[in-house]
Amino acid sequence: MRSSPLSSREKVIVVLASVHLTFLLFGMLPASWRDWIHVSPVFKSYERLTRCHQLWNMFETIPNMNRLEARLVVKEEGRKAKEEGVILPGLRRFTQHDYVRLNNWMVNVIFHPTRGVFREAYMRSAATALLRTGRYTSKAELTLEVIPAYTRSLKGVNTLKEIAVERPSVLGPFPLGTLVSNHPPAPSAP
Amino acid sequence: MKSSTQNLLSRFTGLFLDPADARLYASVRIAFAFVSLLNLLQIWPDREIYFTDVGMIDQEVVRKYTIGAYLSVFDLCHSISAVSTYMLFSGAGMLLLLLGVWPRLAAGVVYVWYVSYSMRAPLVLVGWDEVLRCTAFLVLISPLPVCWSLRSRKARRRSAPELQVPRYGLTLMQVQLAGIYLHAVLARLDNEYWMGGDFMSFFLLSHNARWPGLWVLNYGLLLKGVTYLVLLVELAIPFLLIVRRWRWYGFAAGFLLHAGISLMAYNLVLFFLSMMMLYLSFLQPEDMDRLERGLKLPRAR
Repeated sequence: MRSSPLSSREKVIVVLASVHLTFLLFGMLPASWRDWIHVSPVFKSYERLTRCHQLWNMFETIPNMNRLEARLVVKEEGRKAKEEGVILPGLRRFTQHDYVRLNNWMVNVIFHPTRGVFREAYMRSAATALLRTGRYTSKAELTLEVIPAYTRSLKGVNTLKEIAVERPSVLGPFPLGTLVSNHPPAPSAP
Repeated sequence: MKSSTQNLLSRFTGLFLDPADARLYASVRIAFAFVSLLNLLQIWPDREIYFTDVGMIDQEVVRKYTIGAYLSVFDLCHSISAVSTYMLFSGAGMLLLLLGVWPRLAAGVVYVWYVSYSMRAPLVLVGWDEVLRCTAFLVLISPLPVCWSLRSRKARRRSAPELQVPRYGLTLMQVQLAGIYLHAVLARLDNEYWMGGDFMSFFLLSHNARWPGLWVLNYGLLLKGVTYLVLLVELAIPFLLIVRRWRWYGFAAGFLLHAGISLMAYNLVLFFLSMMMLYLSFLQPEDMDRLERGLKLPRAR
């Protein structure tokens, strides 16, 4: 145990480390519990300052998605619809296991009710990329098809001997020209 | 009364100022830099998708919807060449941190990298990104003694290596690890799948699982038991690690838990390594002696 008084440097260490320790201890509480306590705004400000977000849900939500497919479908008038990959750039195909981070993007953007603005931005970028390929005209219609398959109840899986049921979600169709004109490219220098 | 208050205060300051073996900080520093490099390598092939103007995430929209200030080096990097250059620069910072060369500067570069990419592409973040970013902050503010490092001969002559440094960084890392587990368990208390014991069956039927299939239904009761065991183990690990003579049980429980998750799930090896990195803060000087003897390393300098 210490018997000598603390130096100024030691005092600074104790104060700053105590602040972070308190933050970590408070961060042990789930987010919904923290909101009951009135120091929560201070906690959030410190969290934002240090960028040490304390949200450790680790599978708190049930992983009830069995698989996920996504594709862009482009339809020119009088022609058969064509499928393109959703990954930009390059319009590559999305596979869940190759793109663990993009799987999160799908869940965070496509299925999140408040992230419409990200979906719109994506559709504009996809339309620009499709027009750049030269394979489509601005009148072609673009649809984003996302096909998640949700795991049935365990009883359902047992009875039907089928793990999941598909619930497709569709965004569009939108004319490519309209999507791109909503986001005009920066004017070029005269 | 006064002496008991003093005693309590002294114990509290001891949490931060008691001397700690410099090799413990060195081991965390090396492990953190190594895992950070692996994470960077994992992101590298998809950098154009996440960070450039032609990718999946519009920087202007992210900036608009960021709560608080948008502070990211990617604000200056829009093309693939600029993004690649910044990633290489960050990788160099990780390498310097691994080697213990200009460690404070390197830790700063690595922390800025974590903040920058989490702000630029918040929609593609995964669990270990959060663990690594929190650890980056703790490494940045912790003592970074020069042991187990490639210091120049000149620098070695200039200052004697510190063998003992204040333990505040290790204390905060230990609490961070405990916080991750306790938060996770508490957050699940009102989740019917966890409380009903069905979590593991659903997990093994989900896209996260390595071998999803109807076979899962044959082990319903066992998987119910495993669900409750996971909760119990996560609750127990911080306490096992804190008690010095039980810490190896804590290490074993944590290793088996995360190795099990990595085995049964896709793409979670980096999560396993990120969590194990924080366990190093619970090692003791005698463990370091054993490690040095085992690896036939010269005494720490």
